[in-house]
Amino acid sequence: MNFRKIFLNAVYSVIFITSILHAQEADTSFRHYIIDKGINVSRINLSKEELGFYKSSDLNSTEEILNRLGISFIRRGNYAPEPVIRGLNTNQTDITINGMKIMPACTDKMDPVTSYVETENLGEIEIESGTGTGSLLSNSGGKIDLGLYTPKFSESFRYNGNIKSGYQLASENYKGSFNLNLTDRKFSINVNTTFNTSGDYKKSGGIAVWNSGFKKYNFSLNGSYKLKSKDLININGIIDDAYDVGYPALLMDVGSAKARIIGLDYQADNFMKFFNNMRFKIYYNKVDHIMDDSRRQNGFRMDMPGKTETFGSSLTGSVYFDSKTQLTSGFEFTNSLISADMTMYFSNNIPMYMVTWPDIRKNAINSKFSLLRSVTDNLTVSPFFGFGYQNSDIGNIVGFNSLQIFYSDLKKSSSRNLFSGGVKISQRITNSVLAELTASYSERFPTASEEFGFYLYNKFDNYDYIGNPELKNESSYQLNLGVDYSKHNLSFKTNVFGYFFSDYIMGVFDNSVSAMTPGSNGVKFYSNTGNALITGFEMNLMMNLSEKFSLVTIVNYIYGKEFNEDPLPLIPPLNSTFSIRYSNKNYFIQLEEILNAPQNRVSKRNSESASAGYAISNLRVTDRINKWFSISGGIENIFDKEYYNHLDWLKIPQKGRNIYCDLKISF
Amino acid sequence: MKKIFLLSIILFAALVIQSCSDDSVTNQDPPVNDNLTLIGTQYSNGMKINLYSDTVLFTGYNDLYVEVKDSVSGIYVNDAHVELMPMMNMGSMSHSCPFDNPSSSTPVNGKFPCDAVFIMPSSAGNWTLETNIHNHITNEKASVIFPLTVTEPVYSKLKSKTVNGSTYFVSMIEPSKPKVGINDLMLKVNKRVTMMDFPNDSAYTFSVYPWMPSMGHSSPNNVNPVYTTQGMYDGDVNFTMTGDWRITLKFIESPQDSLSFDLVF
Repeated sequence: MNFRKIFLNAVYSVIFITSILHAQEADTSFRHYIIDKGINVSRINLSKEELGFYKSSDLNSTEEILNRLGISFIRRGNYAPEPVIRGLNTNQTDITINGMKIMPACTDKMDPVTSYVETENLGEIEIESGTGTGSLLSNSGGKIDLGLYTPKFSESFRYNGNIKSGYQLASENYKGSFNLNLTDRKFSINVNTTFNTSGDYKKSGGIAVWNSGFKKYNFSLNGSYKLKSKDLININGIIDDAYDVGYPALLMDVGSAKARIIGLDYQADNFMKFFNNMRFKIYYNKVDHIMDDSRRQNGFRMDMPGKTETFGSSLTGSVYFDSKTQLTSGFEFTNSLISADMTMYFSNNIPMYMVTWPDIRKNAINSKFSLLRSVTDNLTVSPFFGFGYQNSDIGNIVGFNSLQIFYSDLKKSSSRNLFSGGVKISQRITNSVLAELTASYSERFPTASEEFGFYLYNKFDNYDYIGNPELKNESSYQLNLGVDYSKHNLSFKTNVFGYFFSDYIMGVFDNSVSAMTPGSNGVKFYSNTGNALITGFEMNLMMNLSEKFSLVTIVNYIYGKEFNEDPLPLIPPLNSTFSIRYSNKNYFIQLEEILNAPQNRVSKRNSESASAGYAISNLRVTDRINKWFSISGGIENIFDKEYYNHLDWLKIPQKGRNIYCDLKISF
Repeated sequence: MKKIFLLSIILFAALVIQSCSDDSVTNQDPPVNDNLTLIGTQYSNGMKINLYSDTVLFTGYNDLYVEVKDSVSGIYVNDAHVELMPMMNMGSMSHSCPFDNPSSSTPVNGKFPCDAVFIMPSSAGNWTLETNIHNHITNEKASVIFPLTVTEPVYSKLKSKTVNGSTYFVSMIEPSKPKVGINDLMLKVNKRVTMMDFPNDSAYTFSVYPWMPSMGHSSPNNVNPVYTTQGMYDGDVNFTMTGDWRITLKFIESPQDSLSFDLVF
């Protein structure tokens, strides 16, 4: 393996360089920084975050916030875009809610986990890019954890809350929410309800994009009880229902998408005098996704319900052995059921029924250990190791028989395991410069569609996809070099990374099998296509030019190719955001310029076509009128440019000029 | 050597004794196959003859079972020669159809398995099945005639095709209960030589091509039927979903000729 050699050499040379550069200054906050942050981890606490760059209004959507944290999105409409971390989509990344695993229930990826929360539910968002030292084993491309409400306590009984209401002109989007907190010395209760409805949005020139509206209701309840100063019992519940969601870039829309999420967790400091901190979690969730094509003129009707159910439990804890050594470990068990089928109605013919996800029951366990060792005051080395096991049972006999057409040796029950591991070296170079290198190996399991999917139509390349139970795990060697510079009014953070994949999973066209979906080009089988490379960098600069002016610049670049030199599909082009903000005591004005280069590196295998670049400008204003009232507003796409992003399916233009206004009343 | 000789005599004797004691008749009823449909009962020369089939008789290939009992004692006759002669009387003319006599004089579970391919429904005339039995135990002979009612199935299971001047009857035996997944494909081919003679035929091989007319797609990995025995061909046909399917069979040696079976499930 050539990769292995390059990889090891790179690791050795960086270790060597860092040991030379190693400076002698001591700083207690350094250790803290390593434990808390890490350069490949972005974290934002929404309940503490002041309105500013990351959160420009109290009614920002989760996607807007994630986008400013460097996440790209694959769009199939104006709802539930699929998050992409460094060019890796939800096949290679995990999205969890408060650490809870949730299985999307749509075979066409219309419901990434991000679609089952509202920003109003969230406390802290954490994004880990690539494999890292997180306490639980996550997917090879990293994870987005959408942490729920962070409990607050007060000396005596208090209540507070807010009512938020916002309107967006371009999509006639109305969003309203009500939030109530009850706190005491021992308990904290938070209730939140949100209503979000949108009509068809208008692209440039005020032309409506047909069938792009949605309706969504969300209710959440968070309760916490304090046992000791830092020992808490939390219960979180979310009910999230979306109705009549249009997906202009797909053949089908969504009649309803419903999630029921409940989690209970216990967190303790100094648990049993052994664990310095410990968190135990038990959770259950259920997703029902019903597609609908009653508004479409496809020439036939289809019912495509999907549902998933997940029960899980996890235990994470850290032990400080001495002042220099800390061990963090996590264990997780999940049991999930994934099922979907399809019934087609063609004029007077009898209904045609097919099973697309054959009631797959997955039992999975995984564990992870990371050791943090301060070698000197400025150098920390953290080796980490993870192991995962998964057993899949096919419960639907029709689905099993269907897959047997292609895989005569198919077993009803199969299992897989995976390993991941690596080392992260953090080196303080000067007081304000920190360098961090992560070198790791990781694997991922194929997804339910990749392993057992049956004739799943993909509108992007217009092929039917069939799963492959004989797939090998996709594996990758990853290198990430991060540098963080912070001094006074300047903070600069950059990551350079390279992911070297083996057994990269993609669909491969097979001309011996005829397409099922009318109009489809043919059938692709998920296959291990060999090696692939994803490399790139991201940069984040925040600067306070004066007391009142501040500047934020973000630049992301990703380069992806298969080893036959064919570019990988859906790789975001070079993109950047420049923002300049003027802030006074009670208000701020922010001007943003979003730039996207054209993307000419496109995947032939996936019938991808090049995309044009674009520049759009946004203006945002927020005014805190007094203790009770705050108002935000702005104009997005000021010059009403017609544009689409390279990751927008069918290149359907995004919103034209959009004027929004949000009001928050606190009590 | 002597020992081996002695041993073989003992063994032979044991065999003879055993076969004697077990000979011709059993007092116990054989296990009842209660899924069968009784077509008719006839009596002749001390024999009670029952004719069974798997389902109601239909145009196409039908498995038939002839059960012969002693009409007084009800004891199964376990050694008999059974011969069939199906006949269609259309008034102005009559003809037979493809059939297979029981291959052995020993019944299976008390019944002599045989089959017939009815090439038209009873609405065209009168079907009868002449059954000739030679009871080897009593050495009695019987000849009985069963009137038959043959229905036309909604989706035809028998197709005829004239290829290079000869007419062939192709029966689809399986899939009889089609399902999503891999289905056994079993065909029987008979050639019409005269109106009374329809021998099993293996002159042609076939390729199988399933097709969903409403959606316009095929299914993959089907296995072309290959000749096994007695006019039978065995292969696989795959259905990826329920609904309406058309199985097209091409005569490989005569590519311009093909025939199709429709089915719905």
